[in-house]
Amino acid sequence: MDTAPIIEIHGLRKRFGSVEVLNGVDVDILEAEIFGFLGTNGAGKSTTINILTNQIVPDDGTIDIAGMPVSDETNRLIGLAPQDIALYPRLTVRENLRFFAGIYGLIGGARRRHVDRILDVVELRSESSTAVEKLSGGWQRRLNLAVALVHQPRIAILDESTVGMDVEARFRMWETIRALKTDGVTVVLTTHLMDEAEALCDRIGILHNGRIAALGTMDQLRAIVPAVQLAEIECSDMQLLMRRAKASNFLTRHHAGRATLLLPKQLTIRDLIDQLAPLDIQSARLRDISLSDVFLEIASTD
Amino acid sequence: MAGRILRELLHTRRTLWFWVLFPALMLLLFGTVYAAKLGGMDQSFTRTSPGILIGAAMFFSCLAGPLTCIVGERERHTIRRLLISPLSGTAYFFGVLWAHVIIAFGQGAIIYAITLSVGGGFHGSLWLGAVIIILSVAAYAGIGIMFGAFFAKRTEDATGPVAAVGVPLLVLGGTFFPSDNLTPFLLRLAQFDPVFHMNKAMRAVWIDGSHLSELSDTILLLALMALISIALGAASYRSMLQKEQLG
Repeated sequence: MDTAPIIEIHGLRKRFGSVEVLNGVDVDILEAEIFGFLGTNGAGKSTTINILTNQIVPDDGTIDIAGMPVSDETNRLIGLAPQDIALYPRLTVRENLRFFAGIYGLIGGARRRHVDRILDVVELRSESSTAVEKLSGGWQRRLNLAVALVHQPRIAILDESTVGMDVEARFRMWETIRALKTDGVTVVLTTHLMDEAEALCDRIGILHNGRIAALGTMDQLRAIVPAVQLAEIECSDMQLLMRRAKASNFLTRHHAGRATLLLPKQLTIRDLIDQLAPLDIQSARLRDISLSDVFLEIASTD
Repeated sequence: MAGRILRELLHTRRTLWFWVLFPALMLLLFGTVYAAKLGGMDQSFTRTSPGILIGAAMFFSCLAGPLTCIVGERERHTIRRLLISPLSGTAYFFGVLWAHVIIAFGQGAIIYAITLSVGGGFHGSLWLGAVIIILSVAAYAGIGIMFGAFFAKRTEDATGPVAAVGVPLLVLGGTFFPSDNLTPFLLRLAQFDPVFHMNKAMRAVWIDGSHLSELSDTILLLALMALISIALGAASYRSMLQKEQLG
């Protein structure tokens, strides 16, 4: 990519007591990209976001945002949609937006224009006079995002912003997030939903053991799994399956009671069954490598 | 900030009604109770109004209000947004203070109207009365923010500190009966009660029509208490923000 980095994180370290949460995080996030931060609970995503937003000071390392060290000034470039709904429930949608626009110094006509614009972006104009407490969870999530964007930040940090949404609402939210990128906003996304990260992110950084264990586009991340295709097999004798797979030079992974074979080349189901024969195979399915596979591959290196 | 608090209050009509109803009923009750002893409704309402305004009305709105305001920011997670916004702690504090000054003036107007309706009155300078209200609100708001920052995790926790610490302060401060009824020991103790000095100042202006020159010591003391309270409130707010950041 030829875009310049807007967030530059180098050698970031943070320890809480005896726990080293960040152990040298290095990553550059490019302007107007959708960047996904993935990691298990406690991997350091929230700590990284807190350092990005100047909430906590790192023990070591630097973060530059738009060429400036993290400060209250750089916070003006950021819009944060926290994981929890952070709104005033008794105020209407418009009143919430007006308040948060106001604390970013927007007043009068400028504030009205910003509020109207963001109501259109998140498709909440029809609900602008509704009290937040009367909105559905999905609409509240949209407003949670809208509040983060009302001052037109250059960077939007969305922390698990679709959690608890139904499928349709999630897809609508995805469209909004894609539209932000089109408008030149850099989106930093944390999510536990692998399909969401795959569908939205230009690049993904996987935090593991306090470091960026993998970083790249979806294609680059897929290359971490030593296979071109995966086969999920259910069989009456799993031990025999493992021996046959080994004999056929297939790497295997075992997660949650299912065996997955890592195929070094494209095969048909018939080819695969022939290679594993004789086995009592109950079901077999070929599939592409997903982000979940990458994630599990990284986790399995412990 | 002040606009946001007042809008929320307008949307929560029930709370607004309680804040109107409570001092109005307290004034009607105490005014009627003391009518025979004080020589008529006009005298009785005039003499009970200052205590009802400072104690019953403003105490609950301007101490409990900032307290629930702070706790509410934590409960609704809006503190997370405020933390990274350009809104400073000082601007937040003065926003809360300004909103409650407006609420206190509203309550003052209601009590004044009721007193006027029974033939009573306000005998002093309205400006001096307003200064006492502002200093009292500042003292209450600082304490409310401190309690909110340290002692109440949820809104329902707020009633505990208000009842446990606040109501004895009201009684000792002579809100519901004249301070002459206090024993010498309690009267000495009352000197350390901010409510006692607020009541004393407001009574002097409202009932006796005292001027600033006669009240300068009390006003200075109220200003000092307001400053200490603001300092405590601001320090507590900053400490809470630091805890929230680490949390």
